[in-house]
Amino acid sequence: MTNSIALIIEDDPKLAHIFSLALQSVQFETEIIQDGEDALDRLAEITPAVVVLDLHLPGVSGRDILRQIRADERLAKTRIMIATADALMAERLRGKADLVLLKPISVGQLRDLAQRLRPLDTTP
Amino acid sequence: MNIPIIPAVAMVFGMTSAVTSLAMFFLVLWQAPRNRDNQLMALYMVTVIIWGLSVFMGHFLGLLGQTTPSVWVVYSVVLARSFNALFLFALVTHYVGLWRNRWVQGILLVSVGYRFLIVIPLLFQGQLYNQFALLPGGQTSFHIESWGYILLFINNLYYLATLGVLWAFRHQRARHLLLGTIILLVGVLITPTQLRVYSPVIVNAAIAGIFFTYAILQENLFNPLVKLNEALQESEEKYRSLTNQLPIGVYRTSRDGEIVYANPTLATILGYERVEDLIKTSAADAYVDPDQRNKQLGQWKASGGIVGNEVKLRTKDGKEIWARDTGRVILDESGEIDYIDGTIEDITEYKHAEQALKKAEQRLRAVIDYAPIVLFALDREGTITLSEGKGLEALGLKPDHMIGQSIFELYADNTQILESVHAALANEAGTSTIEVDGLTFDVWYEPLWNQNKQVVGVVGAALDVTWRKQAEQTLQQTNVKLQQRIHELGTLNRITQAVATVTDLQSALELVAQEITHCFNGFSTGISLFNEARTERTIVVMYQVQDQDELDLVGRVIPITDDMTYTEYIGRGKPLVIPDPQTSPYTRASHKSIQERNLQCLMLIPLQSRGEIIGTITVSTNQVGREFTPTEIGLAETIAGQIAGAIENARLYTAAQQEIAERKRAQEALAQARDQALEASRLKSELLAKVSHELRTPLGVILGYTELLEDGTFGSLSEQQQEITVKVIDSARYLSNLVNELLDQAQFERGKLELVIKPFAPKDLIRQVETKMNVLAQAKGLSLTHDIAVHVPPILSGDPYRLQQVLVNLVSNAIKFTDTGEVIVRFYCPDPEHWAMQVIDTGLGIPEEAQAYIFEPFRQVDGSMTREYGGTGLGLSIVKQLTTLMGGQVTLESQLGQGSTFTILLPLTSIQEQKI
Repeated sequence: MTNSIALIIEDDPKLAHIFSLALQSVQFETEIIQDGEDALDRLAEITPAVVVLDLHLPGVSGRDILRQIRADERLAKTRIMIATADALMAERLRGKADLVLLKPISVGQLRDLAQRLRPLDTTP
Repeated sequence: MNIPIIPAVAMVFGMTSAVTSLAMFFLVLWQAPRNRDNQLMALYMVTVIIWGLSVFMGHFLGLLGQTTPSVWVVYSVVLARSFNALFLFALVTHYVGLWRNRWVQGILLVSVGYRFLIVIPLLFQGQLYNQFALLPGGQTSFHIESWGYILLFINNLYYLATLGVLWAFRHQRARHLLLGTIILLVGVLITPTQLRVYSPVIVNAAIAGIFFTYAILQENLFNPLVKLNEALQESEEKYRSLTNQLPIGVYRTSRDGEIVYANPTLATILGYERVEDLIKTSAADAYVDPDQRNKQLGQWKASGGIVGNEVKLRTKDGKEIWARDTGRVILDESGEIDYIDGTIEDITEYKHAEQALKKAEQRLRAVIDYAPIVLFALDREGTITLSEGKGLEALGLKPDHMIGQSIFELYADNTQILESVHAALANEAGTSTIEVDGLTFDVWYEPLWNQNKQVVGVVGAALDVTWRKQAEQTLQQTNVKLQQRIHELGTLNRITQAVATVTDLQSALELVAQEITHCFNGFSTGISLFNEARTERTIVVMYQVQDQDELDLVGRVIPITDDMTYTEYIGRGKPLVIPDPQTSPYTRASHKSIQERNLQCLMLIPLQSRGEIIGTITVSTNQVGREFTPTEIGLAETIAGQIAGAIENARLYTAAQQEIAERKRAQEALAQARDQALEASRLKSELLAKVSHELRTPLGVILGYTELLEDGTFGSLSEQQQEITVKVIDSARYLSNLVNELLDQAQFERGKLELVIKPFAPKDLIRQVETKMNVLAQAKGLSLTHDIAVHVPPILSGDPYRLQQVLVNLVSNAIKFTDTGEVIVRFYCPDPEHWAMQVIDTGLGIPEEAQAYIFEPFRQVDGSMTREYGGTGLGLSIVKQLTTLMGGQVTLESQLGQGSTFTILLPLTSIQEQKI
């Protein structure tokens, strides 16, 4: 199985845990990062298939991370799911990320959507 | 020894003497100046001495041994001697005045002619020549010669004696005449016989004898009376010399009026150079008035004494002069006028001076008589000794009345006068201005001294300057009036400006009140305005020169129906001046306050606008005796006219202003209320957003864990656990929806909701909604179906997320209120420009009265429904708002118990073009 890493950038550890469990149940390797800067560092190292991105982060903001990923050729295939409790921000970012989910996010929904975003497995 | 110079000089001397004598002979004979006697005598003596010198020189030649002197010397000597004699002859006749006497003439001619008759023939015979060369007898002897010649020379001195005789005769000096005659006779006797024929002594003696004899015979010179006459002559001589030197003219005229004597002064006075020119002229001709002389003659004759007149004379060159002509008439024995003596005194200058003096005196008199002065003199005791001048009249006094009175008593109560008099008596000159009986005098006074420099009185003058004081006062009053007028005009100007430029009426009126007060030098100025019914007045402005701060009258409303001042005043409509405000019935209502402020006079000026009295200006003064003049009243009326208009304008302006202000205030209140509402709404929305955001996170955690629990992530659950977990999930979802709806509502309210327009497929939209809603519908046993009309374009433009939200809301609502039957979602195009989404249910239906408000936030048909059916009550509101936002409209058809049909009509925006 090729790259099925889901990077969960979420400062709330409980939500991060839930997201992680949900994605693991659909065969994503999950990694949780709670800090914006750490996230950028990590993104320089790995190429996740899906990034679940919270907008309210300590350090670098979620919007900056979104902009950085979009600016990075290497991460062109990385799908971004924004999970925010800020309905206003959600409205504003719709169209810029692959998905904008307004918290609370149902586990089932997350699972479905993540699976849909998973790049096609080219290997048999 | 021959010395030629001596005979030459001798000859010159001889000839000189001869010529001079001859000349003088003719001169004296014909035209001898009478007043040149002494000079003529002296000249004669000179000629004789020159002759003597020539003779001496001739003889001197002989003394030197020159025995043959030139014959010309002899001639000259002889001629000189002869002509000397002629000269003498002339003098004699001249002095004696006997020329006209033929006897005298004959004797004298013979005596002189003798020389020619005897000496000259001798000369030609050579006899005479011998007398120079030879002594008588032909002997030559020095001592004899010298003796003889000396004697001859001495003989010549006899001429002097002759002259003395002449002088004595002329001046009638008997003794001198006698003495001269004796000397000559003695000379004749002592002259040697042989020399007598040559000596002049004979001739001289003869002359003397003639005069002497004549004097005895004709003039009685040696008579005692003659002696008296001699004395008289002497005195007359003195008198004559005196008159000659007198500075006044002296004359004598004959009875015919011909001037027979005049002194040089008279000649000078009358413009003649010589006295002689006056002689024999007519005295009457000298007078300017030809009859003057006769008048005076009569006067003189009548009086018999010396009478003087001031007369006008005409001088030789026609000039008129003033003279004092004093004369007397001397009568002869028959009582007729013998002659007239008189004096003429040139009084022209005196006359002029006198006239000038007279004029000056007249002027002085005029000054004293007509000028408003008082001249006065006081003695040491203060008694009036002189008091003159027209100034007295002004005081109602007469000079007589004053003289002899004591000034200390007369003016005992006038300290100014007393002080001045005392000062003058204390030897102190000075000036002062003194008021007497209402008149003003400028007084000069000086002490009067006697010779010992002691003060003996006071002299002085007082000038009535009352008129000047009055003029000064009048001028001052005029100036004051003029200044006042300028002041008033300035006031008026300032008021006009204030009224014109100050938009704030109150400020303008305050300024006006202040200006009026100062302009009229008043105490206070108030401006009151009446109400329309004129039952009361409102004091709008009150200005007071003192205690301005204590005024609290402004704004006070005072009823005027009982106030006579105003009732009367309104009736009159004219200025009202109350000169006795403390007692006047007009001001009975305010006597107390007027008395407190001690007001003396009030002036009420009506403020009239369009013929109606709208108020008053009240000016007061606290100056005792001050009354307002018609001029001031006029000015006040002018000012009132100015400000009445301004007040009227301001009233209209204020009314308009108030209306505008009220409208504005209402608008502002409205705006404020709106702002407050908006602000409240914004705060509510923000709160909602915040709350929903804060709720979301924990909701997410609850929902997440329970869902994971439910799907067995954490291991399989018991049936009961499963059931409970699902209930937790439902509740959490409900809560989540609630929060979402609240958030949407909040966003609508904040106007923050934005649409994301993009192409979408209606089919996908319906499928997604069905996917979401099927679970719910199936749970209630309802069938959820859809119907997409064929003419609906496969791809539409819009916000699929929001459309889905609308549809989900409507469908979930339909499911919620439908217990049996079905829920149909229908897409169709009612017309070419719109498409519609329809959600049809077979549920309870919505009562008609509820249909009006069902789309409002937090409204459901019945409050109890919320409890029964759940939901926030926001769903339909959000539907309506989203539809509106998308440019569409939502309609409801429903009948109670027959189901409901919600229709969303949206503009059709085909994006087929984009698609292609």
